[in-house]
Amino acid sequence: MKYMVVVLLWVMLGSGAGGAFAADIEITTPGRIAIPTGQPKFLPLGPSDPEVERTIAEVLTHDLDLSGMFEIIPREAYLDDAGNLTLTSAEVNFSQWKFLEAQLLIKGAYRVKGEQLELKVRLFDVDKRRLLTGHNYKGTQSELRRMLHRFVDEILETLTGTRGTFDSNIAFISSATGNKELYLSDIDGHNVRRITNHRNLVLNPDFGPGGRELIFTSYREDNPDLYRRSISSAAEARISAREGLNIAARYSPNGRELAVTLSKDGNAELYLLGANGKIHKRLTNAWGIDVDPSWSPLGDKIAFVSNRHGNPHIFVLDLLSGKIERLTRNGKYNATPAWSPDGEWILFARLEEGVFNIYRIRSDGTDEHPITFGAGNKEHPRWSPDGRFIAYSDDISGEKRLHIMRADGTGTREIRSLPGATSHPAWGKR
Amino acid sequence: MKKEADTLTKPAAVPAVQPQQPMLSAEEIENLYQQDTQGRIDEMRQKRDSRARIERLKQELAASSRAQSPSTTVAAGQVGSVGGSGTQAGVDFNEWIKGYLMEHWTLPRTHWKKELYSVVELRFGPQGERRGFRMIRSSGDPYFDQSVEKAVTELDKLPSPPGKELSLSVKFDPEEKY
Repeated sequence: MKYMVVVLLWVMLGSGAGGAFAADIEITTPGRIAIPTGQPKFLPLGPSDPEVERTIAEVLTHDLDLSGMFEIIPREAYLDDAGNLTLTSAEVNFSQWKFLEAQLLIKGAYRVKGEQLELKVRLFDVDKRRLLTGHNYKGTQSELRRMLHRFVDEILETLTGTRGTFDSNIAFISSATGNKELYLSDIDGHNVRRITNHRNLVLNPDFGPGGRELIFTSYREDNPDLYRRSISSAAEARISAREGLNIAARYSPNGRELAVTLSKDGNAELYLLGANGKIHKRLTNAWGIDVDPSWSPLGDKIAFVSNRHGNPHIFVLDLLSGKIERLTRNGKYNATPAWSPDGEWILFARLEEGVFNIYRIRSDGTDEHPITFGAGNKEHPRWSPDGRFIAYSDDISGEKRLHIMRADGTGTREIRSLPGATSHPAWGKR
Repeated sequence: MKKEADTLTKPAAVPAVQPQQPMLSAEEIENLYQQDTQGRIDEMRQKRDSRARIERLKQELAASSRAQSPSTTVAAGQVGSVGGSGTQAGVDFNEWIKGYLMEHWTLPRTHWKKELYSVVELRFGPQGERRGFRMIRSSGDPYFDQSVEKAVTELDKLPSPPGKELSLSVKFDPEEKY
């Protein structure tokens, strides 16, 4: 036992015994918050194609900037290696990039043959003078954006160990046809596909297991009923059409069950349904409404909104014990919780002084603070599967439009897809 | 009024728009669950459990070391020198080293998290040359640790010779800003 203690002591000293590590020097502010990166224009291996080059520049700029990890060194400063087709670590003139203080270098080349496209992409570590990752993609020109999104996902994985989610989908509601219907697009708003044609009101989508299907509420039959729909085959089924509300359904992390609000007995309560719509369990039984469930990533808890104590607040239900604890205590109106993929944070929208902004709070109820500010209602926040980004809607322009930002509230931008109102994002896998 | 029984026995009461393929069957969902999700959930559970275990061990350790020998919990020596005696030279160099490392430390805000910090021990020779460094507390995040190592390896030499061996610990601990 004494031996154990000695070994433990030795191990634990190395891990700072509880965080109170007294060091001689403490650095709390990194000098740079982005990696200086060289990213010259991708060069043609055959005839040049301005449209391909424009797309490459647009996608790389969007993804690299949104990631928040890179600071692209201005191209005016580049030396001749930027204009050379040097795509191996033996050929690249790293001294030039080192001179420009680049730590990373992203280079590439393309070849267009009719509709076919070949894309070579490389990420180099300038200091270590070596290739970190690279790919040769072959496909059609229509696949160019996706090749680039995948490459940036791979860059993030190479650097941080966690793959990016630029090559993924966002489901959302748009009123472009005059009715609110469900759509899918890439996360930058490109490649829009309409999913429903219910010609009434479709609401609140969520992705099913593996990202292969969607659930949503639709008034197609004049009642807010719950539907499931396969993305690839367009097969669709109404799985809960109980009297009253069948709304805001969310798949459990293991994909076996849905948490949903039903009001079949008069009051809006949370239920667990099977994927076929059969009731497995009633989860809440309280005066007031219980809505907008969001699963913890482990699937052992559900955050939801309830006005059981008067104003709408976020509560957390422990599914094993059945115990419900109040999470938020501030503000008069808190809505639409979204539990982060790492389990650490719960996002929600709070109405303060007549406007909704997005807040986050740790799942233990500490550190509550806003991450968006000012005018414009910011609502329905949803996480990217890697936890790096948040999609939400903002009506600052007069109508709800989808936006995206980093998890800390920086890097905000609009997702431009369809004209008119776009809202209720859900982030899927690909 | 829609009866619950209807929806259960006829889940496709509303005809599918293009019924080319059936929905995912229960078995398929089960397979997805088995292959993909359960693995990830188990992994996260294990991580959570091991974090809790480490915290518990730390507390037990803190309690037992307090009981046995209070001095053993002091992980780092005093400013400047190897033996922890502290010298004026050490104090002077500290400011310079802090400024240099800060300037050469690149860390995207995605990694400014409360729970992430690491501590490095730096050693310098009498002429000011860096003799080595050792990560004595890893943040647990490989990217975070790499960013720290990169900053430290940029520091080859002190601006003037300290005249004796110098060893000090540096904590890299970005504040999570809201």
